[in-house]
Amino acid sequence: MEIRDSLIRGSVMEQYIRQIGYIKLNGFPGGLCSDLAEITGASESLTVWNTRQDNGVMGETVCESGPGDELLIKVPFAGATLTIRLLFYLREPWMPPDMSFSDIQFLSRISTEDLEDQVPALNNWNCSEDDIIAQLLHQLLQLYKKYQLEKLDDDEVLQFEYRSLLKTLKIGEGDIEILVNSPGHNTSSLLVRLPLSLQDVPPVLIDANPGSATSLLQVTFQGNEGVFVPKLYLSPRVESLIGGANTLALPAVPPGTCLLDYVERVLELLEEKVRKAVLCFETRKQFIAQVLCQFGCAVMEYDAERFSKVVLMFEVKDFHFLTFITLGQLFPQQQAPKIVLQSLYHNSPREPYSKEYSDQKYSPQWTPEEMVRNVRDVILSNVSSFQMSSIRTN
Amino acid sequence: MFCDNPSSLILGMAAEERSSGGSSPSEALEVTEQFGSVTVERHVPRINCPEHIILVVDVCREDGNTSYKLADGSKFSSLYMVKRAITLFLQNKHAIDSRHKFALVVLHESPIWLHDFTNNPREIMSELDELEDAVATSRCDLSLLFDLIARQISLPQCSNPAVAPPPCVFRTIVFYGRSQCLPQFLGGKAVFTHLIQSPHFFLDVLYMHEAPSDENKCEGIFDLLCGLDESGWSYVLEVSRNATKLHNHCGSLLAHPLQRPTQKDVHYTLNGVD
Repeated sequence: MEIRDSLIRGSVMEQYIRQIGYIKLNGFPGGLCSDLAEITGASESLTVWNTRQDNGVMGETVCESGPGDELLIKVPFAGATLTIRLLFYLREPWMPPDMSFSDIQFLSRISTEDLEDQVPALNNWNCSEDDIIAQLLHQLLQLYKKYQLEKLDDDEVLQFEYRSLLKTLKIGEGDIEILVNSPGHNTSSLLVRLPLSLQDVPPVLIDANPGSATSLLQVTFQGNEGVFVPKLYLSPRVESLIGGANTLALPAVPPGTCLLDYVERVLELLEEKVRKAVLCFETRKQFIAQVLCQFGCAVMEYDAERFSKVVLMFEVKDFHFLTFITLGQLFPQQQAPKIVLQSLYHNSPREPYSKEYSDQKYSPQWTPEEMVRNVRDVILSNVSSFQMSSIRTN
Repeated sequence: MFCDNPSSLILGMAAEERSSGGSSPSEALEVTEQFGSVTVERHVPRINCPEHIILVVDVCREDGNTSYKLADGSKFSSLYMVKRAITLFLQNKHAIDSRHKFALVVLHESPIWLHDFTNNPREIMSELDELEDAVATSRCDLSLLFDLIARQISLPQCSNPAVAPPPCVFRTIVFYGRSQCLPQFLGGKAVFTHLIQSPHFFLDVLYMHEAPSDENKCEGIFDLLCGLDESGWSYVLEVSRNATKLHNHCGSLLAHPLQRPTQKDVHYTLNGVD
C-alpha cells in the first residue's frame, strides 16, 4: 500500500512539475504583460490565506504546506502587480488548488456563479493536462479584468475615458487593462497597448530583435482632479528602431489635460519616430547608391544591409589610400558623413595610420549627389596633408 | 559619373530588396555589371558577408633573387616585404569588418596549414613574424595546395545561391614568389575545379617576381597564373620589386569579392572635376 502510494505521489509530482514547466516555457495569455509574470514556489511552510468559506464569510485559514505545493504568481497588471497564490493538494490531485489574491476584495466581490462560468478549469480540474495551470491562470486573469471593468461603473469619468480610448484608437478590449482604485491606494491606473505598426519598416532594421513590436503606455491617476502620470514601455524590437523608452521625452501633463488627447499625442510621437528612422535608412541607402554611382570602380566594401558604411580605395598623384565613410544614427539631419582616411603603407605604430576629416560645409538639405560630391572635395583638399603626416609618423 | 541609375547598383541585394516588397524576384536577380565594357554575370547577391581568407605565402628563395630597394637606399628581402604588406592587409581588412577571418598556409616543399581561421589579425601576424625563407624547391604542386584547402574548409550550401545571401565566402590569396619555377597541377585539377565552381569560393593571386628577362620564366608563370582565373572574378596582380606597387596591390586585394568590380574595371583615381 505504501509503495503504491509513493508511486502515485511520485507520478503526481512529475505531472505537477510538468505543468509548472509548461507555464514557464509558454507563459499564459490573458494579460498585456503576462509574459513578464514571475513564478516561484513559496518558501514559507506556514502561510496565511485569505479564503472564502463555503458560507460566503471571509476568513483566515492557517495551513501548513510543504514547499513545492504552493505557487506564487506575480503578474504585472495595469501598472501594478497582481499576486496569485495557488495551493495544490498533491495528495488529492483531482482537487483544484486553493486560491488567494493580493487584491483582497476580488474574491469577496465575485459570485460563485461567476467563478463557475468564467473559470471552468476549477470545476473541470484535469490534473493530467500539462497546460491546466496555464488555463486556470488565463481564466483568472480574464475574470479579474472583467471585475475591474465592472468597478468602472462607479467612476464615470474613467469609464468615459476608457470607452473613448477604445473608440478613437480603434483598439479592442484586449488592448487595455484598467485598475480601478487599486487596493490600499486611492489611485487608478491603466495600461494601453498603442496601435503602433511597424509593418512598413524594412525588416533589416528590426530583424535582430525578434518578438512582438509592442508599445505600452501606462497612466496612473492621482487624486480626483484628473491629474495623471504617464510611463512608456517599448519592446526591444521597437527600441532597436527608435531608441529606448527612457530616452523618449514624453510630453508634459499640465492640469486639465484630456487623457484621450494625450494618448493620441504619444502615439503620434512614436509614429513620427518610426517614420524618421525609416527616412534615415532610406537616405543612407540613397547616399551609398550615389557613392557607388560616382566611385563604384573604387569600392572595397559597403554595408549592404543597413547602409551605414562604405570603404573605398583612391589614388591621387600616385598616392593610394583607403577612405572610410560612415553614416551615424543622426545622419542626415544632425550629423555629416564621417570621413576617415587610412594608410596602406604606414602603421602608427600598431594600426595603420588614419585620420578623421570633418566636413565644415555639410548641409542636411543637400541631395545625396551633392553630399557625395562634397565628400570628394573634402578628401581632395586633405590628401596631401594626410600623406605628409602618415610619412612623418612612421 | 560612371552610371546613370544609382539605385540599380544596389539591385541584387536580395535580402533587403525582396522583403521590403519594393521589387519583383526578377529584379533581385538582376546581377549583371552596369559599368565597364565587359559584362560578367554575378551569381551571388552583393552582400558584405564575412570572408574567410586563406593567405598562401610562398617562402621559397631562389638563386640570384634580388631585394627591394627603397628610396632611402635601404634594402629588404622579398619575404620581408611581403610580410609587411600582408600585415597592413590584415590590419586594414580587420578595420573594414572585424568579422573577417584569416588562415595562413606556407608554401614550400608541400603546403602546410600553419594557422586556422581567426579574426584576430595579431595571431596571423605573429606566425608571419616567425616565417623564414628557405631554398627553393624545384616543383610547385598546385594540386597539393588545393587538396589541403578543400580538406580544411566547408563551402556554404545554399539552395538558391543567386538570391540567398551566403553566411560567408572563402577567398584564397596566393602570394607566389618564384621566377624560375612554373606552378603545376601535378595531381590533377579535379579538386581545384570543384572549389572554383562554387559561387562562394574565390581565388586571387599576387605574383612577386624578378624583372622579366630571358633568364627567367616570369612571363610564362604569369600567364599560367592568369589562367587560374576561370570565372572572370579573380584578381591576378603582379609586381617586380616595387614596394609601393606591392602595397597598392594589397590594397586592391582588400576589396570584397561579392562587391568589388572585375579587375578590368577597377579605377581608383580621384579627380577633382567630373
